[in-house]
Amino acid sequence: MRRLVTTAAMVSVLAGAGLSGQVPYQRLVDAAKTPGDWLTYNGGYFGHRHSTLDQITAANVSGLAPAWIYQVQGNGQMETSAVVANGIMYVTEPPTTVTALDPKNGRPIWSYVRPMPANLRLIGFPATNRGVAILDDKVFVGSLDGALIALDAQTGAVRWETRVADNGTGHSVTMAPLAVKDKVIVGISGGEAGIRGFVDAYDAKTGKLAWRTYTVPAAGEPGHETWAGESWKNGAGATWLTGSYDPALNLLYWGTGNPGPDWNGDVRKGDNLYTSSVLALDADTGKMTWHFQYTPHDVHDWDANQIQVLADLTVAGKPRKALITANRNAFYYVLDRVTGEFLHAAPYAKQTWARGIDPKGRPRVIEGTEPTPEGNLVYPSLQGSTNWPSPSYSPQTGLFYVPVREMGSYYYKTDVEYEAGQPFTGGGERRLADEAWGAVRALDATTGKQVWDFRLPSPSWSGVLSTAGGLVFSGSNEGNFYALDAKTGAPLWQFQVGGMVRSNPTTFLVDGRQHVSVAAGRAVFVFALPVK
Amino acid sequence: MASLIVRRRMARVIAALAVCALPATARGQYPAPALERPLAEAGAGDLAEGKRLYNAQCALCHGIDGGGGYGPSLLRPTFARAADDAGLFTLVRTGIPGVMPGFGDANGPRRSWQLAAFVRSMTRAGGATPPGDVAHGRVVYQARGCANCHVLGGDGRAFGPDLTAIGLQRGPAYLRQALVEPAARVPDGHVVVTARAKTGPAIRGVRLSEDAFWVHVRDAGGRLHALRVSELAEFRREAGASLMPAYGTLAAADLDDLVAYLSTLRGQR
Repeated sequence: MRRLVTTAAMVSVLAGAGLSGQVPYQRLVDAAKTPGDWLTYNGGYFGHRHSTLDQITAANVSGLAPAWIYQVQGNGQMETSAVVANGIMYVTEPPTTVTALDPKNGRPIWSYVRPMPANLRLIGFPATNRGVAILDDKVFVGSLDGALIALDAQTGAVRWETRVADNGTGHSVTMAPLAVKDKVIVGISGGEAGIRGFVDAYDAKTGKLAWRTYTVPAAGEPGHETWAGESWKNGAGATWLTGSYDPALNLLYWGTGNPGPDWNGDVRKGDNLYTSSVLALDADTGKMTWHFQYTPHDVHDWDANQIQVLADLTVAGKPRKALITANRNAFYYVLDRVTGEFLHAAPYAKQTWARGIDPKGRPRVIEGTEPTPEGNLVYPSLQGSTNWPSPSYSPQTGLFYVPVREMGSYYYKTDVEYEAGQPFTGGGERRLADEAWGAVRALDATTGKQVWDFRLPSPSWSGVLSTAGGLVFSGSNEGNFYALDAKTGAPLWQFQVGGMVRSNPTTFLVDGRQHVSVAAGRAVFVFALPVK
Repeated sequence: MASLIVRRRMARVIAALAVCALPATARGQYPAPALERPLAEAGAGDLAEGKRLYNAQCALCHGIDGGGGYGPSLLRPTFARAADDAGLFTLVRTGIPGVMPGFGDANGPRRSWQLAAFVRSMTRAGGATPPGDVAHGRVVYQARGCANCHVLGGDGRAFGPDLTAIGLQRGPAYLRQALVEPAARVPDGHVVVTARAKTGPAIRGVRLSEDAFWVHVRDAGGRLHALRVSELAEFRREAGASLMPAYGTLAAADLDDLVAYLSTLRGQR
């Protein structure tokens, strides 16, 4: 009771600063117009992770210093992307905790801690959570035990809770949900447990399921013929990262994961639609408008869940509403997001599995690159040339900034049988970790050609943020959080946070001053320029 | 005040999680079995079954060779969460709540033991007692100046790995290869690098740490070098290199004796 009273008192003080508690849908559509907040996982529906804030610049970034640090408790990895709205910062902590912080000083306002069952199953990913969605007066979080929870944005009170899927069969929610109109869109993890993937939409007010679209078609549905026998039933195609949304087209763009089992394709002959693909879904009904499969019959665990970035580009002289993405399979793709038409692809990292991409967008796969019982060396490694950490697209520079993983692996294939709630992978990898390295790489967004490269000692697990101050922020496994010149890649500032940076930076205003946040180790770090 | 209460609440939840974790071993269909046989007694059949289970359940995170992936490398002499055989046996059954799944329910005690034995075998290949004269091996150790680079029981210069408990940590086959062909067995934390500043001589040594902006190197003379990456003209990680001399020139009997001696080192100081 005492906690409630105290919380209410703090909220009233924050509200007294002239802040409303509401984030209506239209504010999410217009997120770019209010850069002082950071309202969705990637900062806006187009997935740019770019901010028009320009107080911190190449000229003054050398003075950037920690404003405060928030330390978390408990096991698991910090992969959260901070959402900031109406003077409150929302971060998530492992296993499934949401904490509201005062961005002025890092002090907690409330915390929602979800107890986890002792027999929690995490098959193929660490105990983590990547962030919340906010809509109206609620924040939404998915849980490791497979639920979706709506919390009061001011107090943390549970408004509703709904079961997305059964954790006993390896389902979890680790991604940050996406709030669209009156719905909350959620994807599922479990691609290494032989689940059947789906994208769900829930009524934001009640938690009632509005629609579900499976990523693997059942008998009688288009695409079912791309699965041998009954293999579709455990075909995976998990949807474990936040999608993008084009309000004008009312289309969601959602990446799908690897087919199951990961490395033994013998039991699932065919293209295995709609795994390792992007799906364009009607936001009201979930109906698939188009699909594009990046890696047909994937046998290397090359999920296509990476952020599907929406950008308006001129491609081959023609203005296009484009979808651009750096895929785990080492190729950069440009698609038409209205029709799904393939426009262009180019390798952006070392790869040894394809001779290129044909005019229809299908890879020309090199014979003999599939996993074998003895091990088969292929680039990239199973974590891919990039992974879940977000890239950034700057409309200002026209560059696409991607965290890169340069590593090869010996891929192994083993026999496998599906058993509910057990790993369903059929092999594994032996990494060439000694010679591996990483980078933040700037690509021309239209051609995918490399413009600059900032080298890291090991394959990156940190997302990238670009700002109108002409800066690119990212991190390293070795604990560097740094700013690069957005045009040249030259390092301008760095701070050693003392733990692995395995999250996505965000930026926002506090009392009118630009701040930058990143989670690393077991803490959230917030930086600002000193007050003059 | 609110934060204090939140902290207390979190502490309670964490405590509750910890309590929940304990009955996890007793929760399932099997009683919590004690380790009845040392893992080193596993035969070829046991290890083959353990390997099959490892590939299905563990390789996803720890790599098919144990070299790591999402999870940490298992090719290390000691595990922070499993100090001994019994600890490893428990760990593969119960997992680590919120971090690593346990497979005790699915595997049962016998297969869990086989799995633990296989994991142990990854670092400690060749578990049989080696031939050789232990007392004379000690003489070889001293005569050959091993203590110039290795600590044993608190004595010696700390440049290479501490050998105080090496007999527990590594099997005789590993030790023999590490002596004859050190570059084939470079332990974690002993990567050799060459760095040359834009002005100044090349520095060759063991990499103590490396990030995107700084590299720390200890050279064979024991000197510590802190180098700014932006000021380096050259920086090379030497894959498969070791600063340890190869002892393939030792007489065969001396080599046997040295391996036998190292195999007896169990941590007594």
